[in-house]
Amino acid sequence: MNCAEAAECVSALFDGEAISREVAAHLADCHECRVRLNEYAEMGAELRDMASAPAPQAIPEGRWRLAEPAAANNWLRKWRGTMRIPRFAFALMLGVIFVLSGGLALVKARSVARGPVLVLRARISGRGVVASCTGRVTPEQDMCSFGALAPPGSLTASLRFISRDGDRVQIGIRTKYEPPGKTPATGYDEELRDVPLERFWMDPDKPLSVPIAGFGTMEIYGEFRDHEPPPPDPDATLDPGPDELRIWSPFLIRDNRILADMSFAYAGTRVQPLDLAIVLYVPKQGRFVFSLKPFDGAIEADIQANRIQFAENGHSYLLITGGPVARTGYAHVWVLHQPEWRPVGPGDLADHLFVSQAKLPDVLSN
Amino acid sequence: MADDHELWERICSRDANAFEAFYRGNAARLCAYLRQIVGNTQAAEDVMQETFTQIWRSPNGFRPELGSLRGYLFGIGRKRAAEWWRKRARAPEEQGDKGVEESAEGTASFSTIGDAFARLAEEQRSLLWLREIEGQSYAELAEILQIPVGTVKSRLFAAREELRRIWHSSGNVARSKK
Repeated sequence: MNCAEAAECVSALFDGEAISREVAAHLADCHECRVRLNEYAEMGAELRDMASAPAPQAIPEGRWRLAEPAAANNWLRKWRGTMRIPRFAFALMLGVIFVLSGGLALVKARSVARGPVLVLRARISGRGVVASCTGRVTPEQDMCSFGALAPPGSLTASLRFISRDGDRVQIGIRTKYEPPGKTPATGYDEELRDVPLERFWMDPDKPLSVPIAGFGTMEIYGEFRDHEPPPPDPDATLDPGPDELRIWSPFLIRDNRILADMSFAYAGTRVQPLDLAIVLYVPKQGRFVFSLKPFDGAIEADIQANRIQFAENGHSYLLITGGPVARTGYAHVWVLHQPEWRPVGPGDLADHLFVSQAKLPDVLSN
Repeated sequence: MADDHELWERICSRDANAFEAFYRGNAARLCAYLRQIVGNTQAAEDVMQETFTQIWRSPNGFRPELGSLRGYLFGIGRKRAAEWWRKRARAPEEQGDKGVEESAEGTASFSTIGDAFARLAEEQRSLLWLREIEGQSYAELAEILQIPVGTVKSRLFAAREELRRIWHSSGNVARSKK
């Protein structure tokens, strides 16, 4: 051991700390280390002498007396300190609240469980929820068809309500996975036309795992509700988005004649820029193009909550929808009526009522 | 330790007499220590007052098993002094060079060891003061400075060596070897 290695231990020894025998042996023989130890002692004495040299100062009056105690930061102490009602009464009140809230939760759960509306959500790995379908549980009926990207390919599926047994429900599912490169059919129903219906019993509280050939699995989540949720999905609100134009369950009247009655049909420019439009097609009447932004050939129509009203060629039109068309900041919407327009599609399949969204430039170009 | 515990209980229960005794017994020493950190008598007294006021307003955080009540007091004082420095760094125009003048004036009355001591870094001055003047143990120093005990040992050694180097350079070698 040398002095450099022992030096720190000299400092510790001076402070009364224990040192190793090896260091002690070195110190016994090392003049330099003993000098260091002596100098430490001398410096310490000088420092203490210096600290005690000034005349003792008068201790100033403590300002702490002027300070108000801070609020207790111990919540239990604070709670005990502010408790103004007997503890027994407080405990009883907590118990009553617990029982009542438990009862309310039970009532709420039963109310929903008995609901006549079934909400199904389809979820695939990596994409999350790809479709939400809503329908009444009687009678047997198709609930929805949808297509979704299912990387690397695409998925088409349809959901059908079949029957209900208490809290369980039997649903029919058609699925088809197409690898990348395959051109999809023009409609979901056509795509699934040759796919057999598979039947599943599910408990809406538990997800149903549906195997899909060539892809993997799709999970279906179910929920009974006692009311029809607003579109476009069960968790949406009736209030449209900031620049959203929304047409839900349209009911179109011209003069005193009903042109279209489309319960549950929906189209909206949700969370989209203003160059989107909604197209409403009525066989033999052509299409109506709606946009919140003025465009060539369109006429101005008035918005009143869930109504759009306009006049054209001596006819008055009234479109009634299932909810507000746009936010209250929008008093007008622009409408283009193209009576001669017909959809291009295979035969009769194309010539049906529909409402959909599309980009305005695309709509105007065909 | 038992006395500290009892005193702390009385302080926590808002016993003004107990706190007054605590203040009387420690204010001067804390002020002297803080003067080594802030280098200014008036500022040291202000920080000292803030330290006691803080403890009186919200007495919490003292753990008898980790050190003495005086160590806890000096730890709070050191933190308040660090805040004082931060505020001073943010508003140098308001401070002017008053602190420097007072510091220079103060060192003029020091002995040679005082001159050497004043040239140490603040952290080393603080550490040596607590050890040599206040007699804090390694464990208490670790608690006050919020550093491990091993670091206390090495930093004390470094501070002593630096003080020794400065002291030697100012001509005290011969004196120390007499």
